[in-house]
Amino acid sequence: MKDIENKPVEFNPQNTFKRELGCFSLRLGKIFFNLSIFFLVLCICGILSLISTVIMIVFGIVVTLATLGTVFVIMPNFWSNLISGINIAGNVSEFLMSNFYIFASIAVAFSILSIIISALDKQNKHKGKIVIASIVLAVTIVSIIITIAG
Amino acid sequence: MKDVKIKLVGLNKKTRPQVSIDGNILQFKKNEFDSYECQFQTENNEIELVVTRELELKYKFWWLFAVISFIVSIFGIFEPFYDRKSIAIDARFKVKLDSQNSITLKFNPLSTQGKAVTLEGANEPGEIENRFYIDKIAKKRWILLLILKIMVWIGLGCSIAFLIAKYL
Repeated sequence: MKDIENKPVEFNPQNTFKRELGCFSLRLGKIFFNLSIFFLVLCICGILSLISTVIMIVFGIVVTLATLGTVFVIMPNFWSNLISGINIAGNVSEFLMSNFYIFASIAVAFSILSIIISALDKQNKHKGKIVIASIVLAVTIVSIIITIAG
Repeated sequence: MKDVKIKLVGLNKKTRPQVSIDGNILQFKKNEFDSYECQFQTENNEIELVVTRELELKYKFWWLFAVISFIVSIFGIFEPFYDRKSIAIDARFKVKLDSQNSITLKFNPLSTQGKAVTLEGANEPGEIENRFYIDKIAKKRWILLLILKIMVWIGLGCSIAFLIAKYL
């Protein structure tokens, strides 16, 4: 049944706002899922960054020994560059660790929200997303426990 | 009263069809075989079955939700993509009913041409229209959103570069 201008019957969103909200909530669920993973990575980086400083020092020593000191001939500023790199890594590490609980709580909140929104979708099942979000939640909680205990 | 049982098969997460009978949108439930079922009752001897596809960018408040999701997703970085192809479905059938009716709608994979659905199990279904087409309004809105996102990202990049140059 085409109208007089012979246009097709288009998607006619009846009960529009409810359906729009449903669609939008699914989009928000995906956004929260992505954000929970991002903030989990920030938490893990905060924990690992403490190790990175040590790794860089060890790297510098190993390179110096392996090249029998000739690295200072090839690159006179090798050690000063390494130390400035260690300083930068230290600053990043300090920033990540000082805000660790904020990142962790955001990761927990977003993963819980994405689980809830995915579970409430009646049209499609989001098993994979719920499982991964649950893992993110568990890992974040374990990270918090480790940080508090450590 | 005539009972109509409708089953949707061949759907994927992207399809999101909207099926209506005589203007009433049907609510489907997923069964254990990954198809969707619905039961409908009517007194009419003939029904008009209309199948369309939900497009996010065709909703009334698309602009509001696009802005909110852009901000929440940290300037679109963590936002899932909108449907780029904006493929819509226009399928309409006139179906004559018996006392008990079982209709199956098989959806073809989304494409820019060809038939959208195959209707089975109905008495002499009269096909009024059955095709995929590109919704131009949704497509234009998608392009507009993309342009706005790129402009915001360029502006952000310039702002960050300016701040770094100023304070370092």
